[in-house]
Amino acid sequence: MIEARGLRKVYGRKTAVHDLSFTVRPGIVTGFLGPNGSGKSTTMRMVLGLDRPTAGQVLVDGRPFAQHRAPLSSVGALLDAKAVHTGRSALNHLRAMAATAGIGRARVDEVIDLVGLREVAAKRAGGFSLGMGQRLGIASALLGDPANVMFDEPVNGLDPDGILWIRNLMKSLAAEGRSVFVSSHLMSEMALTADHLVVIGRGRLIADESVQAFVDRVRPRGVTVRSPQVAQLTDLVRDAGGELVATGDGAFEVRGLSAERIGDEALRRGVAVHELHTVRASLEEAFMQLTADAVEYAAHAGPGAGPVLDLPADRPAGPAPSTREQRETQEVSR
Amino acid sequence: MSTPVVDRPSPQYRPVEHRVSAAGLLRAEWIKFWSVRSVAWTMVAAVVAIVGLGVLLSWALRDVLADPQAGPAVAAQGVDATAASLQGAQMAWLIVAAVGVIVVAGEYSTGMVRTSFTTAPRRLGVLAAKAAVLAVSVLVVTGVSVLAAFLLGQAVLGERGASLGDDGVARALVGNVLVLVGFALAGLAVGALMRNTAGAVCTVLAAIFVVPLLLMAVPESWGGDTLREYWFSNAPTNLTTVSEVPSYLDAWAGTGVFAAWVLVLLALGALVLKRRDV
Repeated sequence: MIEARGLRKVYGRKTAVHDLSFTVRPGIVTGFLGPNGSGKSTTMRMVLGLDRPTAGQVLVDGRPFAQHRAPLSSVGALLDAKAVHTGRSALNHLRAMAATAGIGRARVDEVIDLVGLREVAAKRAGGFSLGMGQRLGIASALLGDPANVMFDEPVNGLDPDGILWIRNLMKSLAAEGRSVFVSSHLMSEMALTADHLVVIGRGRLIADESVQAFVDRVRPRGVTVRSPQVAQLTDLVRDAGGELVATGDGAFEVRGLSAERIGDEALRRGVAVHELHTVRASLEEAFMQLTADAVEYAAHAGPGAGPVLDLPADRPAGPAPSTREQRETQEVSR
Repeated sequence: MSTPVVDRPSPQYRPVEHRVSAAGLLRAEWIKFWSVRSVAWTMVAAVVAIVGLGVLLSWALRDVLADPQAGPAVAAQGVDATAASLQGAQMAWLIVAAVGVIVVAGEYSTGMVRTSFTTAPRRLGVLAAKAAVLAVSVLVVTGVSVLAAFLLGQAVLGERGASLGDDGVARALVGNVLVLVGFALAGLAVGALMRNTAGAVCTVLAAIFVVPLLLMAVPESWGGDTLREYWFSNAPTNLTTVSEVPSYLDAWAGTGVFAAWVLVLLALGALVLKRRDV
């Protein structure tokens, strides 16, 4: 269990993390989602005491990490591929780590085999590819058989096999009752692995909820309707106050009306409907909507400019505001 | 899309506790020290400098003494056969200091330090273990080298040579080795303070070879003599020689002053290492 309370980190004039509070629970995979530069790595370093919080604290199983007598059994961390001396072999790197905590050679061999580094274990880590470096980092993280696992962008540089492997690894670690905290800027990756999400943008908490709840907070994008009676369908939608856009393959996208409303209305008017379904917002879109204002590189956005989050719950249920970001998102997802 | 399982009660995993211990830290630093090629090669360079230069300069001295014209004049001034064979040790000051720098600054430049401080988050144990491993390694390697340089150098000098039993010789040999250990630890401290290998090596180089030259130019009325005597790399001069050089602190005072320099540097290094973000 990892608990952050009012965590804040200021570098000079820049505040990297703003009063962040969240809990990483055992038994599930908690995704830590945010755009690049949103403060994910800084937060993870603060969990490990590598960076000192400016304010607030973070506890691992009830105590600051530095107070743990068996740190390697408490948190296993893959921070980034560069936490290894480039001149040392993978085997010696792991042997030295193991020695610190009195972990035997058998366990070193076990994690080397687990991550598939046996053939290159005697080679210098400086010559490793990004993917091999990630595997060594994962081996280091698992060495102490820890109760909490923290992976910063673990799929970086892994091939498809490796990505599948790490997804399953994280799920099985969580199933064993460990807390698994994994950061990513890839929403699709989180959708496949995470049960719970902690979302941050520009150092501020945007969401701390289940993946499903996170997606549900976002409006459906629209309703896809297919009907041979185009004229009648157009009238129907206009009369009901919706907006109709042809998608080019004989289908239409309706905005501003629910699928139920369209279905009922079609039944009443006797319009044949061949297809009718709600287009759900993907995790990507949910994320884009909630973090659009928080993206570090967004134009005109200075630090601390206005509220970061425009909660969708506050929005009227009427026609969706068509902002530039959303149009782009939709085009991308089509 | 995965199903939310947030509220599902799950038994927390209870790992076997693998505790950090002093012995573990020492073993880890020993593995780290000897598993990086640059460190091992720099240690070899120290051996070559100590033994090689010692033998070479002993050879040169023998040739000078054998010269029918210059020989008698040199001999009349008094020949320090021990000093000739230990000349290389002075060159090795910088080399072992560089080893000290690399051991700690190398971790910062590669990012290894994050692994080290995640494995032992109290941090100071890591530095203490590094210091112990460095001190023992330098003590043993340069100890053997200094003894070898002396014995080989005296063998080259033959009847002009000194012997281990001569007055002050044993102290000079031990003194040279201790001073080398001191410089290595000072390098470690500067590495921890600066966290940058090149910068730290240049700083040590300046402290050992450049500053003493500059201090020669400081007039006596400004306290030049005192500054020179108490300066870091000058302080242990008489610990390394058989016959005392009168313009420097005597062996005991020099040892104390030098040890104080090294300890203060280590304390500052420890403070910075403990407090700064990595």
